[in-house]
Amino acid sequence: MTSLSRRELFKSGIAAATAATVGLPLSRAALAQAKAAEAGWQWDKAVCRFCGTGCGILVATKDGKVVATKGDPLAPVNRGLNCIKGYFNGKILYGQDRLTQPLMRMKDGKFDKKGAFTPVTWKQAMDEMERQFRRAYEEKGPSGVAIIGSGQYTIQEGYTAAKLMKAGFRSNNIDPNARHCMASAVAAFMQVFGIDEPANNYDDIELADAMILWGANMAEAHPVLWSRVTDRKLTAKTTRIVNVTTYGNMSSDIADVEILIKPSSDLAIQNYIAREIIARNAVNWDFVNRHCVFATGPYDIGYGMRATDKFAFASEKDVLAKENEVTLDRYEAIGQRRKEGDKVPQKSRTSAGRHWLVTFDEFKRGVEPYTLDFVAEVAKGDPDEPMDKFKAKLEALVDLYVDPKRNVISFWTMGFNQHQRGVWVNEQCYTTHLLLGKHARPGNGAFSLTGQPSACGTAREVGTFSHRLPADMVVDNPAHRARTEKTWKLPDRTLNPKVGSDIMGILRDLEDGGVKFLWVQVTNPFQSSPNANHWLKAAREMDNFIVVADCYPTLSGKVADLVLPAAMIFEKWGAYGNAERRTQMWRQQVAPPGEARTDVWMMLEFAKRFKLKEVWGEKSLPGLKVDGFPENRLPSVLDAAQAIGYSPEATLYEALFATADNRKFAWPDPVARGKDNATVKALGEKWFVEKALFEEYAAFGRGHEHDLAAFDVYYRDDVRGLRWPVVNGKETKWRFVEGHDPYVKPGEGFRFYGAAFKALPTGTLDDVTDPKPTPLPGKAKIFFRPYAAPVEQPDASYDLWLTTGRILEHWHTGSMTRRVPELHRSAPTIALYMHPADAEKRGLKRNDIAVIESRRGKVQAVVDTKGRNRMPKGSVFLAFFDEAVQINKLTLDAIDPISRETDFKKCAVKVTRA
Amino acid sequence: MLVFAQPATRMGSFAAPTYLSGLVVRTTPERFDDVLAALRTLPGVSVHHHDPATARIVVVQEAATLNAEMDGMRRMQTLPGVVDTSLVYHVLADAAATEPSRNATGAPAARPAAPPSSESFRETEP
Repeated sequence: MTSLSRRELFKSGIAAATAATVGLPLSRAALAQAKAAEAGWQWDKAVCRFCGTGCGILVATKDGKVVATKGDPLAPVNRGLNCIKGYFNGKILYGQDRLTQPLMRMKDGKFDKKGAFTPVTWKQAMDEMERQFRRAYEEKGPSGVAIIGSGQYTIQEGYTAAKLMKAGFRSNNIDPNARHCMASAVAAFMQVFGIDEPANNYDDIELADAMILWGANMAEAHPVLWSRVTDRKLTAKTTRIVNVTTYGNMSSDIADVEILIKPSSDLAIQNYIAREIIARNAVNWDFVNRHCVFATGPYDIGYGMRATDKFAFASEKDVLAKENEVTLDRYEAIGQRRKEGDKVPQKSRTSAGRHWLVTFDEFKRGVEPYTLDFVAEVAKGDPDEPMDKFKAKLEALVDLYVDPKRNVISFWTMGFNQHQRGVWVNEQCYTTHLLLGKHARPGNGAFSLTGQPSACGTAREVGTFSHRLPADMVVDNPAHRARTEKTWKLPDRTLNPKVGSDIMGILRDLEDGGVKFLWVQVTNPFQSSPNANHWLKAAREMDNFIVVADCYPTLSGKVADLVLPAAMIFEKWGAYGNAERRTQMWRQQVAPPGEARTDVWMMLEFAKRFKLKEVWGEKSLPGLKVDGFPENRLPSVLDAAQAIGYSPEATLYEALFATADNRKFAWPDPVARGKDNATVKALGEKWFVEKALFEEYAAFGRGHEHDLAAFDVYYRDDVRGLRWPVVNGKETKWRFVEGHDPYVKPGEGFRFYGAAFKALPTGTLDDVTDPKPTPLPGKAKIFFRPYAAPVEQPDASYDLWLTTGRILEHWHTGSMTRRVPELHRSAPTIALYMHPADAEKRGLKRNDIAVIESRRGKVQAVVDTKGRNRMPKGSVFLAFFDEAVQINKLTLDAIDPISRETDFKKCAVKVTRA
Repeated sequence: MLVFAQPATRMGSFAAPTYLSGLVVRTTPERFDDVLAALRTLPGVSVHHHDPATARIVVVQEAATLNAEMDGMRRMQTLPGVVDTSLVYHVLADAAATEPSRNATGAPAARPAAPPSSESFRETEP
């Protein structure tokens, strides 16, 4: 056979394999060609490394190496499709500068913070880590050490980190990058429903008649879900898609209507929608009376910035001053029923989440000012759009929501979450859907989309937060601590009851010397956190020791003191939980390169170096004032530990991880089908670490509305993940609703059984009038929240809005995707998207280099006036995937005071020629 | 699908490195015939299976360089009537050019440690 016809045959094989993967009907001959193209490979199921969609993929190995990846045709999420990032899941493992050895800053053969990075052995690395940890821990106690973790942790990694920090070192200074991503969504779930995570699932896409995007560029951020949305629109022709956004983007291309809005005006628009629902008599009173109550909270909650300007750059001080007092502008005055110019001290900064019951009449009074005229004036984002056209769009949006014949899904991600009033704006979307009774039902719901692959499954469910324990429990609830101590077999009062530092808190602690040891895992916080100049300086100049475990050199690695080489996704056993609560697992496929190790191994190995007597004795905890605890100190629990059988000489590894129960899970295990385990191998042990830890963790949720199936079930050939709660082997598609959720009994209709915040005082819109708590079992809350202006807006000096986000080709800070030549070539650097008129006014045209500056820093980027993002006049956009363009030097560290999540979407900049 | 197979074990040797991809092009039933015809005129693109019922067309594209491949995909994506194109299968024919070398046992060749100082870890100026 000639080379040419061999090629043609191979191409036919590729075509057939492509068609088969997406389920196109094929002839038997074609199917045989597909099989021939893949002869000799061993396929195994896995999940995509990237976004919260959670596409299923298949990984092929031959002779112990990855030879191919493809979309999994049997995965219900994506049905054989991948987006361009997912397509390269195999290739991300093989970038040229993959980290394969620990690197530490050294001078004269010793660690030196001013030294150059030098390869060291794992023993040298861990010896120094231990030395530095002890130094910080002895000087500052549990609040002097911290871990920044990730919504990209596997379930087992997150669980190990949480247990090590909380049960071992008794520190609550563990917080994930998911704080930057989903915290507002989480707080809203807890406040509205009393329990985290969406009620709906992806099946709703094929059942919806209208899908409304709120500040979510789904075409680029959840591309495979967008494929499903597009399919729905093309097959059910009456489906309507609306893109509510602050700039024109790829999602607008498929949408029927694009509604361009000003930053923060989403708060006003949603109140207009609520007002209209009431005015049009569209409230579903049967549903609302049976299942809902009305609620509200304080407005004077600040912006989560530092209360002192001691650390501020001079240029920042004007904005910082608003943390303590706000002068209401005209829109806020109308929206909050006050007078323009009122000076409001921000008294509720530390009690921002407080809320109480109100009557429907009070709720109605709250939304009354949000007329179409008022809201259109606040919200219209394109100065060139005619006002009546904009108003018509808002009215049409309400039409879609209230139409009794339409199933409606609202989708949102970072536009709502990365918001100074993110919790409020999340809650308002539930308000819309609850008023209409269009929630937790097939085709109907307010669907908070998760950005990262396991912010749901790991960070949120496992509780790797400064305030959390597993299964939605919290550290400052005595009953929750007691249940956790019981499950973990800890003596009473081991767990620290004081909420720790969240991610911005940890960075600020680095700056003011409060934290002296930081371990960063599976994230790049010095590139991805706002107001970065502060933290970069703190990392290099303060007396601290920063460890970064990662797979490639990142900006965080570069400002660290020790870099540890980490195993990547298919080089370890793992599990992720996606945005629709689907837990999916994979086997290790190949070995990690060089000296790279799994993050779980690093933590277990570190745990071996600490004895109970060193961590469970009395510890200083400044600021601790909790019943049953001494003031400013955690008590010693060593006596109690001995009484229940612990030796003070036992290591944390033995006491917390290599327990008798966990050792019962033997390695090798038939579920492995001959695949290796890098953690077990490096430990030199015989227990199946990832399985034991999963089962130990799952015990928290089973029978408590967070049920997971047994480990082995997820590895069955006929399983492509399962949506929890999984009860009696059956997954749950829609929660809180009879007939779908096993926790809701026949006859109940709906039961929002989350237990958190389900006893509230009563009051008016302005404050509590009766402090006696009313229990609200099974109810969801319809919140009134007012419009609030962003704390920093364009002015004479910084005259443009800066908003930030992702583009299709790159994931987050690009540490993985920039190592794939195809993706890097597609988008080699960050572009400054701006309106051509704004560019021209500043002497700029497309492809010129511009300087972008804010009160906090400046960067340079190339101008694009005709790209995928069509900015309205007055607004510019930058992504954050290129380390050479550190846009977070510009962004503002204002955070939602309830959720502590950063608002990356709105600050003020000026743009000039370079 | 992304495939990292050595050309010798997969397809015999070709004259020059070839970037081969299997893609699914999606259009609408109304534009189906137009798009099918347009795809057939594109250089390096061969049309294989198609399904008028779901308006999807399977094509294989081959290109001599990475840039040509990216350009080709962009050309398909921007054809009038194309709703989207999905990458499903990709073969990197000349794996040796971009992949780490494999020794006889199939294990990746030992990779040098990352440069210890300046290259990867330049001091960052705040």
